[in-house]
Amino acid sequence: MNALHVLPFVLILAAALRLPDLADRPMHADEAIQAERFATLLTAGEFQYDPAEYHGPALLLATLPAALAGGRGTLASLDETLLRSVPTVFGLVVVALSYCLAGQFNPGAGLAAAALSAVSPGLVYFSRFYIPEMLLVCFTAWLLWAVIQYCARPSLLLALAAGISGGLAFATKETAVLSFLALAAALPLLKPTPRLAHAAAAIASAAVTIAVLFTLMGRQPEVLLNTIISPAVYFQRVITGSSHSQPFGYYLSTAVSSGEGWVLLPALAGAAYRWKTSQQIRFWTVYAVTLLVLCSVLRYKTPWTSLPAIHAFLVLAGVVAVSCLTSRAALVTASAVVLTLACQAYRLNYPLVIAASNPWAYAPTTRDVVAISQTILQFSAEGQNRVQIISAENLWPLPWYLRGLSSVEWSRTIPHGIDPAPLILLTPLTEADVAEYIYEDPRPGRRHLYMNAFDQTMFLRPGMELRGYKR
Amino acid sequence: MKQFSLFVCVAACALAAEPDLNGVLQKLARYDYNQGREGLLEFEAIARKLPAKELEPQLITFLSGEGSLAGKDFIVRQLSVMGSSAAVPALAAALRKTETMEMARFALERIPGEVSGEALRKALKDLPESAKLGITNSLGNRRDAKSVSLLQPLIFSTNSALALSAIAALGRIGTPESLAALASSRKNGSLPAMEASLVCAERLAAQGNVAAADRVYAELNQPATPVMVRVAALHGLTNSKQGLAPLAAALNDKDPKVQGAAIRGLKEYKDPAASSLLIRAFPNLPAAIRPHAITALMHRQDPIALPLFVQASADESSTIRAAAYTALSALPAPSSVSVLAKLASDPAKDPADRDAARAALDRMRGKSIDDAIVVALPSADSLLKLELVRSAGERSIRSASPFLLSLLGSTDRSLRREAFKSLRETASAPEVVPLLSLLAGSKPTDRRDFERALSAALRRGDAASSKAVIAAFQSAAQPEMKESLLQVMGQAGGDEMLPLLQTGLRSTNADIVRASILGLSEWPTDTPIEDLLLLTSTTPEPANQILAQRGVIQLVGLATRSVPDSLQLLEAVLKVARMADEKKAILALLPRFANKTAFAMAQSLESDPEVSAEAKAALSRLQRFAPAK
Amino acid sequence: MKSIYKLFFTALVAHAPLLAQALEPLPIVLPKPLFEGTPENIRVPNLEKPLGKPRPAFLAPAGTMNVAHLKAVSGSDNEPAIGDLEMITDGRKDGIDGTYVEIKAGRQQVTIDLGTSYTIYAIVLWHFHKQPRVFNDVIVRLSNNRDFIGQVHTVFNNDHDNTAGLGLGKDMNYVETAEGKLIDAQGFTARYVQLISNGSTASPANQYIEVEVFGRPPK
Repeated sequence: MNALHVLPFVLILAAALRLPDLADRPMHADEAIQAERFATLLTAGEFQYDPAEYHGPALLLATLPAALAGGRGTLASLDETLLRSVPTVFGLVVVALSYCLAGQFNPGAGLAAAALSAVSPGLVYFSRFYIPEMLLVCFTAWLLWAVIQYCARPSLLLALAAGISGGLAFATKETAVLSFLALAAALPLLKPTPRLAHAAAAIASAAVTIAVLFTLMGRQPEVLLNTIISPAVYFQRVITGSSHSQPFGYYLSTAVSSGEGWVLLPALAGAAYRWKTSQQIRFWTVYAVTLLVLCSVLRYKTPWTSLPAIHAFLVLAGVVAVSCLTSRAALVTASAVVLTLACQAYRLNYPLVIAASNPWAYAPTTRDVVAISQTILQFSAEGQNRVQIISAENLWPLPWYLRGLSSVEWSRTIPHGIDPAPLILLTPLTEADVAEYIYEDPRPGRRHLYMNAFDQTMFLRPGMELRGYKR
Repeated sequence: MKQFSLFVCVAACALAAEPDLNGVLQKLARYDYNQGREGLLEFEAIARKLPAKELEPQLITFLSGEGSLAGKDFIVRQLSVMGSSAAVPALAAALRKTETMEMARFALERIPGEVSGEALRKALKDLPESAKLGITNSLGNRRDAKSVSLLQPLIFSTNSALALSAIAALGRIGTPESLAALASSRKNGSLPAMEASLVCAERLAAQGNVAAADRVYAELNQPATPVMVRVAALHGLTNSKQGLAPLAAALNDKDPKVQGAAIRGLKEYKDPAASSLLIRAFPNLPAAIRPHAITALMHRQDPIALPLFVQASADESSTIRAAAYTALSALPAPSSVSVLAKLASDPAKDPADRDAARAALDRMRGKSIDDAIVVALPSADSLLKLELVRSAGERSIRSASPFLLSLLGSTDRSLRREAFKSLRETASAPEVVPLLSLLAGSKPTDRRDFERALSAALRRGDAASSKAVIAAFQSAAQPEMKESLLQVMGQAGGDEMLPLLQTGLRSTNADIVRASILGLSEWPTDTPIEDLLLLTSTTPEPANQILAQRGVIQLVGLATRSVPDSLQLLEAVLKVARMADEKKAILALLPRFANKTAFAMAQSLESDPEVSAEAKAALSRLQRFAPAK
Repeated sequence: MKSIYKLFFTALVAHAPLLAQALEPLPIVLPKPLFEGTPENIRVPNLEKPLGKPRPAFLAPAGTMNVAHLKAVSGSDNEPAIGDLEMITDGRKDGIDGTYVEIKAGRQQVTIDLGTSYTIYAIVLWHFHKQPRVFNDVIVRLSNNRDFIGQVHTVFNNDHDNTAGLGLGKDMNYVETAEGKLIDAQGFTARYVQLISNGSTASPANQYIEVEVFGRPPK
């Protein structure tokens, strides 16, 4: 059986898990922010770069073709399906690249790696998530492929490919640096013989790629300075910051809960067993472990940050499976694992997509956001134009859901001096102050009674209650 | 000639009016059910005028003739009402024809006398089994004692319907012989036979043969007997001379229906020992039955049951407690007062229970209950006292008024409040003077309550009470006191108070003027109208001007004056009214005095922006008085 | 040159009051919120709504309570046919016999004296709810004057044709229910609360079960 002939079916399986109902899951806060940034790029041709947050322009630039092809020109015209189709496409490319990566060892290993990547619950989850992660995994995989190929057969083209892919990875997210460090740690195992010219070309192509993307083809040269300092700023925050602080074993436990961990651990065991027999195994082991350790050392952890490491382990698993098992046993084992992971991927991406038990669901937006936004939209449609949202807390992705309204007034503090709007949304911490505001600020006779706007308690996210009062 | 002609005419008319029975009968011979009832009504009109002995033969002939079945059915029904033994042969013949059997039996059943009975008995012997069913019914309905020997064999018929019919007929016949005829079936456990025996026993008892009836009841009052038969037997035994023993035994039965029947029996039992029996058996009765036992004892109105009611009022079951409260209220006893009052005042009790106890306390009738409440008041603790005070008001116990007065100085706000409330129901002439002196020394927060209590006392008072209030008003030094008394006099009404209120209008104290205005505004007649109208323009206080205007409007609203006079008064107020509220009130009244003047008044206000909408609303109701265009 | 200085100085003096006035921060009203970082993940055992105390029917400032409880009630009928005027503020809302007052037929009023002025946010009113009834000409007024002269605020009026003589009202008729009628008192300050009615669809008499006045002492 030719592995290449089976690859299309693997891609179909990957697509079947990634494509359906892209708009079903409510927008995550991070997705909504990326969507807003994209809308700014789309409408104003601008890209705002904050070294501490929000990452590079790659995701946004990658979304442009889809938006332009779909005739979308405004924020209001964007929707979840369009946005999420971008990481979905990159997710499928990752599957193909997995074949290329492990296939360098053995086509069967390539197929195994591709199949595992196709059904990895984590990779599927974030292939349906409008954040830079899948692009990062994709560009990193391309970088790894170019580097491994270069080590086998040095050429300028491969050096340029490595540079461009590295530049793209950096332009996607600052954590690409972690992959670079892990690559640096594992590279000696491939016994590279780099030529200076090729190295210079790679560096230059990376730099040009970064410069072109960050400055939007030279339109925003000032952004370039931020790109230089961004890794330092970003890592200072993630090393010293207290938010999203998780224990060292967080990523491993996430992978185990998701299912990839049951591949990861046997892969490590197999790698240890076959350590001496294969350079590829040594390389992938060191790379994957180093990357995982680097990610785990950082206090700031979010589950998607581990994806490049998870992907590396899946490639390793593909290589190890073929190396340790007979072809028949490898086939049977891989099939069983793939089937199990596929079922798990389905569960975690469809029925349990925002469930508390889903390890990939991190601060998910609840489905209440639909009811909340419909209440506001209906209220506006009835002629009551003003809506005030008063809270100092993080209310994303609510702005996404209200993107079609121009009459929403957002305040972090009580807007004294302004008449209270007919509909006011707030968070519990603000409620006492808002009550004072609506009953004390207006003159007697103009103080209206406010009733609950919702029939039941509403949560934007677990633990983030949103309350609404209307006249 | 003239006279002869007149005679001939009258005779012809008389002849023309002569009822033609033959003609009607001929019509009936062709009558069918789907035709109208004119022919039948015609017959009835004729039959009413004819004597029975003249009518009956013709009907008998008709029956024997070839008339329609529907016609015969109708005629037979007539015979069942007015027929005699003479009709029996024809009916007996009809009994033997299938198509006329039922109608003939119907008539024979109703024609009294031995002849008809004999015809039915003969038919029972002669006719096939399929025809016997109706005849056994008829014999039973006739209570035909002579047919017992004919009916008895039928109770063993294989035709179950016929057997049941025969059993039932024997029961209805109600003689010792028919009872004996049922004995074997009854003893074999036949339920229809038992039921028929009960019917028979009831008839025997009605005829005076109580002993025979009792024997049946006793026989059927056994554990093995079906429950409902036993219940019926117990019902029969209730009125027998067998004493309480069977009922006592039934009380201890395991079946609640039997126990219930025993309780019902004991409820009506005339022997006083029945109460003791129920009381002794009460603890062993199931919880579901106990409310019935309590109700039965309540019905017996026997005071020895009181301790049981008191005990049951603390039962765990809410239905038993509810029955106990009702029983206590229906059997008023002074000793129950404290029990119910304590239950009503206990904060640990369920609110529904407290309400029920409260209601029971209020329902107990009798002066002894009132006296018991009054006696219990002084020594009761605060919660109990509150309850007794409330009850005193609810029961309008006038003798409690002196004690209630003493509570008006209590530091307990709820007690004071309740005392005021109750005084409004109990205070009368003797309380007027004490209330006056308490009012004089009262706090401003209590003043209103004193006014209301005094008004109530004054309403129930006499001429001396009114004089006391008037004297208090005249001698009052403090304006607040005068003001309060003016309110009181206004609420109480009375012609003797009117001059004082009118005098108050001329006071230099604005509050006294106000109180007088308010008092006069509530006057039951429109006598003070002119006084108030004068005030609308003479009093210096703008607030009092407005109150006076409102007073006039209110008194005009009594509609005791003519329409022109009423409108004249409203116009006078309108001239001085500056505020929109008074104009709106006038506009509201105008449709009641609908005429062109009223229309013009409303129209004049249409241009006033403050009341234009109200003016339009009034005009729409006065539209028919708009001037012709 | 001098004239320039003069002009400058004059302008400065002319704007001195503005410069001297304490500036208060303008409330910041943004078209949309600033971008935020990834929200913290709060794990809950399940995403179902917490069961807890029911949310109050309306939003009110802290310290708001029923200030009419056990307060004095007077009315146009001092001898009600059933019950007593005190029942209107005794706290019992179940509406069973013995908890409501029936006053005479026609246009009648009851007035609650709160004892002192309160800032009133809402009034909840129960006439009678054992059967569905619609009471006519329901008017609710607030005033600091016991005779309702001068500053009188009408917070509810469904008298569509001025039959009660207190002006045309635009509020709707409503069917009595066990929840009571919630009336927005618009934050007026008042000591007296007056309620008017004019019989119902079931009878010309007027009934009241309870009136609650939600307010707090004015600041």
